[in-house]
Amino acid sequence: MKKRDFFRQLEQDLDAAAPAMSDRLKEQPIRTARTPAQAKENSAKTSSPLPAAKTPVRRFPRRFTAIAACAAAVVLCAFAAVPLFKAFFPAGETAACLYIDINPSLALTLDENYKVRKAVSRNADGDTLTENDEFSESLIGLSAADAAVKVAEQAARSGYFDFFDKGSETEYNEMSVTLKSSGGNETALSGIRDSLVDYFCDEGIYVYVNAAEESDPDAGETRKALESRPASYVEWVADTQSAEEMTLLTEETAYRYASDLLKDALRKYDLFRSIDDLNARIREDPDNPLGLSYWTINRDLNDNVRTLCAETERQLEALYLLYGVDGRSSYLAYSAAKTAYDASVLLADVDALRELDKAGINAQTFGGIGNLSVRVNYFYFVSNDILYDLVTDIWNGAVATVEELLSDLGSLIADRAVTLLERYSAVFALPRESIGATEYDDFLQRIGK
Amino acid sequence: MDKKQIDALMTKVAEGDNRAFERLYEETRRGVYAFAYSYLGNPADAEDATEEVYFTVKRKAYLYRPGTDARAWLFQIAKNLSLDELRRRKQRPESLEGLSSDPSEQPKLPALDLMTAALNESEKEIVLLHAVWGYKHREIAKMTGLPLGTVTWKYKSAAEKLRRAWKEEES
Repeated sequence: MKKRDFFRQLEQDLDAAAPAMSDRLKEQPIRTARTPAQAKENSAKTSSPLPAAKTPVRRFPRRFTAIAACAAAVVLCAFAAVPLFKAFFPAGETAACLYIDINPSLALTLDENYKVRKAVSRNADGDTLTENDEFSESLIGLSAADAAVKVAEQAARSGYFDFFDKGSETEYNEMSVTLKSSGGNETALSGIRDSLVDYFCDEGIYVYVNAAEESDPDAGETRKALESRPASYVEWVADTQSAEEMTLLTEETAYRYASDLLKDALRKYDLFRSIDDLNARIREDPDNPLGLSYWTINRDLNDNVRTLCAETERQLEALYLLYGVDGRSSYLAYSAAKTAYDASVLLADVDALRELDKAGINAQTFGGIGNLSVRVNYFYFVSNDILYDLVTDIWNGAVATVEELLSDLGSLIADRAVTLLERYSAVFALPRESIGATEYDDFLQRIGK
Repeated sequence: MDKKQIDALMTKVAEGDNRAFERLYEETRRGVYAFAYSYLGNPADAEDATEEVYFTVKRKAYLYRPGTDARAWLFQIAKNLSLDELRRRKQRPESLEGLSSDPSEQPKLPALDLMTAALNESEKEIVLLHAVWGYKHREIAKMTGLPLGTVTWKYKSAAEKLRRAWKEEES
């Protein structure tokens, strides 16, 4: 008998035994504030209406994985075919679904006017978006184009698009949108594509939007199936997959999460090194005989110093926004932060950790006695509260039951999502130059699109 | 139990809203009862203790500070009342034990009984806070003052004990 049955029985026991409110309790008056001052203090803090009654639902917070971004162009691929099955649908009723893949993967079910009916997550990262009730509810009733932009915006704020790399031949953001409907609608697809491109241009992020249309003769059934699923991917997997598959999902999720933390830590390490290097070059400028640093030099001394200072400022801004290390205004603050950071990575073999990052963190590279030194290195380098949970779980072995798997996944997802949303929301709130049509065309050429 | 929802209800109760109190009771009675039962071990005493918790809420709702964790406040009241009852039991003459209710009339609660028998106090608390009250391990660590790793390990260890005991019970 699995542990899940025990908890089901526990719920039944409690449903049967927890007493209904007695008349005596009902009649007992509530003692409110004794003094007018207390009453005022209490009422000043409360202005919200009685919350609507909700059926209790087991919530599974989602996992969050940051993915390295790639820059993009827009390509429209149409596979529309006039369906022979239109006759099966009552006049005026069209079923359609819009699949959005950034790394968070979502499906938006659409009504006959191509307005959103429901948002359903299709992977653990998608849960990051759909588990935010306010966000999910805000998509309902929007046009497919507006909803797609809103999803992209939320994904950007959650760190799925790289703010600091505008785009290059080898690194660019990428996303796909696929419109599946019982009847073709090239206009709708073009509208979605154009809205996304406009959004990314305004935000100054190069994104390749691969837009495709597919005919789905069973679009009605597809939509129905999606709408009957839980909005959360993790919850859906828990309902439909075996404990073994959930174990695998948790292990993969945990290792991916460890990999994200390592990438973040390496980025921080590189930022410190880069800022030091830039500062050294500022000090070495021939017109700077006193060896003044970024923090004290006249930035208009010459073109070289101006360029180096601008780049240093950009990287200090990145360090501050991503890690709260505010060395922008004084060398003392920067130096203190760097000293503390260096002390924490003193024993770490950074090169070995870079190799680990390239190889990917998995059971082979991270688990086992043979890789114990790797784990120790990693722990020093990336050490934080969330890592402690992860290391404990991986070290002790993955959990054995669905209940615990979901709990562990939930903790990882929730903590990580909150941290990264806070961090990247600040980054994406910064003003950036828009990308013009000519620049975008040049970029498309550069990446061979 | 949704934290925000419970906080909002408790805030309304503090203003004298009886409807909010009824909703609060409905949302939280299972968690309170589970806790009382885990300490007291029988349905009748657990029922009494549960009711007493909510009498206390009605008497002291005005002391509740909005924005703090109402669930934790309820949990603390339940714990204190249950411990008080246990202390009173120790002082009660033995002849009065078992006379409070007829065992044959009491509902069968196999999961609750198993948990009460198989787990120690700390394990019961952690399992109930997580499985019934909906707290995350991290939150439980903060509430109980235990290191997070200890909470995680205790929960897993308790879950394993329950799994084995339940399997034996079923066979």
